This record gives sequence, structure tokens and C-alpha cells, in this order.
Amino acid sequence: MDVAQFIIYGLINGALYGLVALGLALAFGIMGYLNVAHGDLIMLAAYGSFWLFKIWNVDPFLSIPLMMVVMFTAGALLYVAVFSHLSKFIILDRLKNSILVTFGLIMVFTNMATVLWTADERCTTPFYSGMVIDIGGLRLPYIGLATIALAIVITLALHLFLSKTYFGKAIRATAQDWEAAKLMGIDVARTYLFSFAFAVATAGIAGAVISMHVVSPSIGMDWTNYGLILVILAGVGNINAILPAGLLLGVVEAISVYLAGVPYTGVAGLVMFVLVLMLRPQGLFRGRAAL
Amino acid sequence: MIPTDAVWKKLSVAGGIAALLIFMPMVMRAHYLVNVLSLLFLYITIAQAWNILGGYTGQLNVGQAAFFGIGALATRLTWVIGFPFYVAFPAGGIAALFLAGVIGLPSLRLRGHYFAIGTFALAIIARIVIGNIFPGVAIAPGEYVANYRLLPRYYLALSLAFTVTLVTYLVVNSKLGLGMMTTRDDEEAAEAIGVNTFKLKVVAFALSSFFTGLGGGFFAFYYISYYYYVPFDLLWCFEPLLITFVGGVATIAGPILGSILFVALKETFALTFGEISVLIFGVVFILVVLFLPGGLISLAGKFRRLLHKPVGQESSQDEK
Repeated sequence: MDVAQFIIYGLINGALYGLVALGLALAFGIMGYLNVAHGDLIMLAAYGSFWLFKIWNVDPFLSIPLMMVVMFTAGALLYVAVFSHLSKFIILDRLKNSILVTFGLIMVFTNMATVLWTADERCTTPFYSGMVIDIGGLRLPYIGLATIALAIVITLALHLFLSKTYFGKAIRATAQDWEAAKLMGIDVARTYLFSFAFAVATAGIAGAVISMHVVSPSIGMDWTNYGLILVILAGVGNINAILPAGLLLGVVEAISVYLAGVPYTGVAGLVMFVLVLMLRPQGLFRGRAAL
Repeated sequence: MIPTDAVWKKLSVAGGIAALLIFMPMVMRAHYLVNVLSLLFLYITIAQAWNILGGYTGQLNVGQAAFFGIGALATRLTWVIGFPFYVAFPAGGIAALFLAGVIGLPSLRLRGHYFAIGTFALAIIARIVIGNIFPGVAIAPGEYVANYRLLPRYYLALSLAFTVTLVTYLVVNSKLGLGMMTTRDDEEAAEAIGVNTFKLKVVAFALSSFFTGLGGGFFAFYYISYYYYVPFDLLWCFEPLLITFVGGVATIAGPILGSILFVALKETFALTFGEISVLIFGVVFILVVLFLPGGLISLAGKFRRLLHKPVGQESSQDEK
């Protein structure tokens, strides 16, 4: 029974990892930008949800649409100001330079948040936080169940958007070969702008959920970390596999916590990550290319 | 080669600066300045060490904190259990070399960006593991504290920064360095013309992590007490990288210029807003990566070219 409880918490964490990794995977898969500052964007979004809750008592889950709009705008601005200058590089240099630039962004965002809001740890506490459903001794937290539902809905919606709509198909074409896409009459610059802004907007979703856990200026790096692990586990560009990879990571992590103890929580995922990088760099879930 | 006037001028300027740095602390009793300069030399050391692998060989090592930290840990532990310092200090470098051999080498097989991601994972794993094994503060024994002298540490840092710069200079201007730069610019082409790129990457990696480990050793020698995880902090991954790029990646003077700017900014804001200095440096870094790939050092060349007609002997150093 104990193990089952651990696995449930693992699944809940895994769904959150999936939400975190989506934006990272989108930017990486579509444009070849490895945005290591994605966790810090999530941190900023989480502060957004926190202040909305604190000042106007807006429920964190209800703040998601609002934060998505805010983060979408921020992402568009960020793209115009910084990332559009990267698209002139060839694809490998683009990757390298995006890592470098986003390292700089981490410095900027983390220190900005510290200056603005101090290094205190905070969190939102809606009335249902800590409430659980008890099924035969297994405890299912409300927030956890909502997180899983949210992750599934978002992943499905994204999949439908990318595979069924015209614009989604344009995005996939651009991801496969932007030069060919351009020759076919796709406005690559606009596609990039939208994709990047949307990738940042997903930080608004993850941020709202994370605001119910813990928010401080230094959380960004840890979440980027989980995002990176998932991108590699799923395989670069394989957006559909992000959530399954997240659930897998969550469960593996939960089992390692059960066996080795809480302090080593992060290590299990990273060891998995390094092994996959070395033995199966195309990812665990790579059947056919999804993007 | 007959030294031209320009070379003599450069040499005399360098000699003057060296003499100033060597004799200044003997003449003046400026503890603050000596401390700041020691820190500056530490940054020059690790930035230059990063430059060998990241700048000249093109392998982005984003996990330098692991090597820096393991160096600090090895030096501190061997020093505290009673080994003389001249044993403990190299132990830091050797520990980093060992780490590079055991864990780093497999990751060199990873191409391009996967090496960056892999080393980063290594740094994070190291921080978590060390934080769990050594949760406390590394305290030096009482008699060490009583015998603490600043000047030997200053000279150690000075000679370390000098050595790593000299080694980088010698390596870069040798056949080895040419091979490294070829590997960076086009790995497949380099292999096609018979360059053993893997071997060169290993050599660069070994040099880089050895000096980073020595830098860690200096850290353990310089600070009396610190939390064991501090030298493993991820900041030690970012700062050398940022410094090198702001100064000028793949140039000898770049890491030095970058370190001077970084330490100056840090000291300016140290008493008011510690965070602001890193924020400013981060913005400068982003601007440099986007618009000035040669770093601030390349501004000097551009400026000179604006003033004078091109002389032809302007080397292609800042072209990259």
C-alpha cells in the first residue's frame, strides 16, 4: 500500500513535469532554441499567480488563462527583442547561442525577482489545498488530480492543434525544414514568433500549478532541469511523448525516494537522463517523428 | 623572429603590470585591494580554463562547477587531515582530472550540444550528492586560522592566473592548438584531413579541468570556512562562461578583460545591491552573444581600425 501511495504522488509530480517541459520541448523541437531560462519564466509566471491570489484572491487554476495571455505577450516581446536575432544563425549555432543567451536570461530573471520580491519562499493556499480524496487508504490530493487532468487536456489540445489545424501543420512543416517551408509560402518569421510566444505561454500553466507548491527566485533552475530531462527522455521534437515521459520520470523518482530517501530525489532523474543521452540519444519514446 | 617595436612595447607594458602586481602588496598595506585582486586572479584562472575547452576547442562545458568543486573538496580534505599544502593544492587539480577521466570522457563522445547538456547534468548531480554527504561547514583547524596570511594566497592566485594564461598561449600557438581550433570550426572536415579530434578534445578537457581543479584548490586555501556545497554551486558554471564571452571568447586577453569587468562590477555593487551587478553583467552578456561575437576585446580592434588605415598586420585573431 505504501508503494502505491508513492507511485500516486509520482504520477502527480510527473504530470507537473510534463506541463513544465512542454514549453521547453516546443521551442527546442520547432525552432532549435534550447531555452534554459524556461524554468525562470515559469518562476515569473508563478509569482504572477501568487500576486493575483494574494491581492485579488484569484484562484490559481482560474489565473491560468490570464497568466497565459500575459506570458504569451511576454514571450512575443522576448522573441522580438532577443530570439529573433538568433534565427540568422545556422541550426547548430542557433542551439549553442540560444543556450548562451538564455544563461544570461537566467541571471537577469533570477536577480530581478530577488530584487523585486526578495528571496523568501511563498505559496498560494486556496481553500482546497491539502484536501484529499480517500480511496481505500490511498490519498488522492485535489490539486494533484487537477494537475493530472490539466496536463492531459493541454497535451491533447496541443496534439490536436498541431495535427489538425492549418496553422499547426505550418508549424510542423517549419520544424521539419524551415527553408522548404518558406519556399512553400509559409511565413516562417510569423510561425516562429507565434510558436515561441506560445511556448512561453505554457509557462503560465505550469507556473500557476507551481504557485501552489513553492515559489522563490531560485526555483527556476530546478524546473528547467526537469524540463531538459523530459525533452531528452521523450526525444527531441517528440511533443506527444512529453507527458508519458513525465509520468515515467515521476514514478521512477517516487520509487527511488521510497528506496533511497528524499535527499536524492533529483539524482534518479539525472542518472536516467545521462543514461538515455549516452545509450539512446534519440529518446525512449521515439517510434516515428511526431513533429 | 626579430622582435619589432610593437612587440617590445607590449612586452614592456606586460612587464610593468607584472612588476606592479608583484611588488604592490609588499609596499602597500592594502588588504582590500589584495583580496579583490586574489578574487580577480581566481576568476581569470577558471575563465581561461573554460576558454581552452569552450573557446578554442568548441566544446561547451556548462558543468565547470563539478570540477571546481571537486578540486576545492580534495584540497580542503587533504590539507585538513595534515598533508602539507604543496601536496594538497595539486591534489585538487588531480581530483578534477580524475573526475574528467571517469565521468567526463564518456560525455565527450556526445556530440555538440549533448556534451553541454551532459556536463550540466554532471554539475547538478555533483551538487546534490555533495550537499547530502557533506551537509555542514568546512572549517579549517584553529592553528590554520592563526597562521592565516594573505600574501602567500595572493601570490598563489597570481601565479596560477599567470600559469594558466601562459599555458593557454603556448597551446594555442602550437600544432595542438591549431588542431583544437580546426575541431571547433568543422569537426568532420578536421577528421577528414586526419586530425584525431577525440584525442584533441580529451587533451583540452584535461587541461581545462586540471586548472579548474587548481582554482578550486585555491578557493579551499583562501576561504577559511564555507559550506561544502558552495564551490559546487551552479554559479561556478555560469560565471566563467559569461566572463569569457563578455571579454572575448577564444582570445587570450578576453577572459582577463571579462574578469576585470566582472569583479569591478561585483565590488561596485557589493555594499548596495549584490544582485544588480550580476543582472547588469547578464544583460551585457546577452548583448555580446547577439551582436558582438568577438566580445568586448574585439571593440579595441574595431576602434583601432576606425582610427587608422588598415595596416595588414592586424591578425585575424578577432575574426571568430
